[in-house]
Amino acid sequence: MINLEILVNGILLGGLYGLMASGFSLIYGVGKVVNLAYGHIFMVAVYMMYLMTVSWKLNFLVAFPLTLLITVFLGIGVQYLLERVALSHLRVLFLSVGLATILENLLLAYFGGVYRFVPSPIPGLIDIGGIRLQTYWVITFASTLLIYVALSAIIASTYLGKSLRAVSQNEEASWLMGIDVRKIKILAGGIASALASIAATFILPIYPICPHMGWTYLLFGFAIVVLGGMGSILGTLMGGVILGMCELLFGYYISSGLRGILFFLTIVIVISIRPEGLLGKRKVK
Amino acid sequence: MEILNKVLRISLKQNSMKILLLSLLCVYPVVPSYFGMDYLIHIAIIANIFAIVAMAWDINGGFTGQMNLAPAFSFGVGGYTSAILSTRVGLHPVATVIIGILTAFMAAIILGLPALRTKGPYLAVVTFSVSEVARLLAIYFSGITGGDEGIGRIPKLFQNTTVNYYWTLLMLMVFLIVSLQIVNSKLGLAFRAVSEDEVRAETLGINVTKYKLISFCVCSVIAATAGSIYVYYQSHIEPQVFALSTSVGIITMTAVGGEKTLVGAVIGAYIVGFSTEALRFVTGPFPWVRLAIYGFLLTIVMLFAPRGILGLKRGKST
Repeated sequence: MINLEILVNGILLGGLYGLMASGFSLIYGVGKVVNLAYGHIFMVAVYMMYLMTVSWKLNFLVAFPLTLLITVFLGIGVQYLLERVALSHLRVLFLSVGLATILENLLLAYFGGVYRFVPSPIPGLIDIGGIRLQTYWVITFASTLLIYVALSAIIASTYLGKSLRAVSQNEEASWLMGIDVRKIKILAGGIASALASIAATFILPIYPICPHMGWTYLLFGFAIVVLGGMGSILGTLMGGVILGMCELLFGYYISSGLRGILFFLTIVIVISIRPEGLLGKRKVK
Repeated sequence: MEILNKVLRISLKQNSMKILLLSLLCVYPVVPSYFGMDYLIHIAIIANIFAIVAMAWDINGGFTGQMNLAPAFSFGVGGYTSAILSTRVGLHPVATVIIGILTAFMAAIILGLPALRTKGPYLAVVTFSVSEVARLLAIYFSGITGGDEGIGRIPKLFQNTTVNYYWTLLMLMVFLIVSLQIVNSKLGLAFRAVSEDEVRAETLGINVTKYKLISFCVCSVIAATAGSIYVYYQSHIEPQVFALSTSVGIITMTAVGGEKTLVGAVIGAYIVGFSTEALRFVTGPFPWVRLAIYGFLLTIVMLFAPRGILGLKRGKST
């Protein structure tokens, strides 16, 4: 019998992972570059929130917009640099690893390598049909769903969303239709970072943080995106939920020390068997 | 910048430069050992060993164009195999090196299999994941691998630092010649064809799958040998060799020196090795400084000299 409580918690957690991964997916879908610094942009957001709410004791309503702003600018800057070398995958790889290493070590220099905990801002449990859940997790999951709906609406109907889709489908045609492809790609980096900073704000009280975890989150994101299919928003949410559940169940039944291996194995196996992801469309060569 | 460019272009054009570099490497330990500064020789030894790995990566990542983000994986597999066999079983170093190479060969096939299904950035993450799995396993199975502490007190091959230097330099030269032979042979031509355009290579009758796998194996075998050499010099290995920072360091060396050159990997290894050590003296023993320097070096080189230092002589960078 599978422990239902763990299962539901996994779904709640997975929603957050999906939110984090959707930014990664957006960067790849629109910009056609794999930004290996994404996990560290996420970590910068986490630490900004930590710095402002815990160390400086700022109000959440002040801290969150500031974090959002800083992260978006960082994301735009990183994307701008990556655009300069976007013609060669190898150079994108080198450059984004370089940037990630810089960010990681700047965080390490300022905050040190210790794990830090943040208490949950909304303590307490709620009881839904005999399953006891943390109120905070339920609230974040609901907010995550709202953000998903908003994101889908933006992508479906606004001019920006249409340009994003156009660029992800065909760059040359977008140029001809009068879309500034470069600008849209760099903007995609900014939007992705905004998603990262929202997810970071939610995740901060859930997991202990450490500057090295950028790589872990990058792999979370990558595993989710690979599982759900690159460039698919719904797939990303589903991938996140599936991995969130697997992670908690694996940690509960087998070993939490080997939990990381689950993600890596997911990536390796999914890519080896079905490279386009669970929901991705199979490309005909 | 322009003057530097010119100087490099003139000096690197002639073979005399290579001979000068080689002789410089040969006489290098004389001054430090005279003044008893074994530490300077130690840095050069580490640079020699990592230059071998950087060259191995250059064959796979540079010439074959595979985004292998795990040169440290093969390096670590070779190192760990040697360390375990020599401390736990007590085998002769040569035997452990040979078994280490075989293990790395099999590991390369494991690493290469997903590579046959994917390419580009996907491959980067797959290889990185494999390396992370290795690191977690090395920590988890502490009965064999010593866990977080790793394996220590592995018998050294040579006690004297200067002898160690010449030993690693000899190995470096051997592998440089072997790698140059591979790259300039028909095999190397096939590697290059695969990296240029897989579809075109396939239509020309090159078995892309086969050559990708061969490239992974060649890289892995050389890196594993370097891993064994490293273990028998440092007499210590820990799970952190599998970490991304090791791979990033190795790739930085190749990228800084210039990819697809092999000699660039050696130059890069020395530049990265000495610059990080020199700055360690300035900034104190903060490990993050070294890693931040990898990051800065990589970023600056990618933005301003994407083909590395040796790439500058080939004219305008593209």
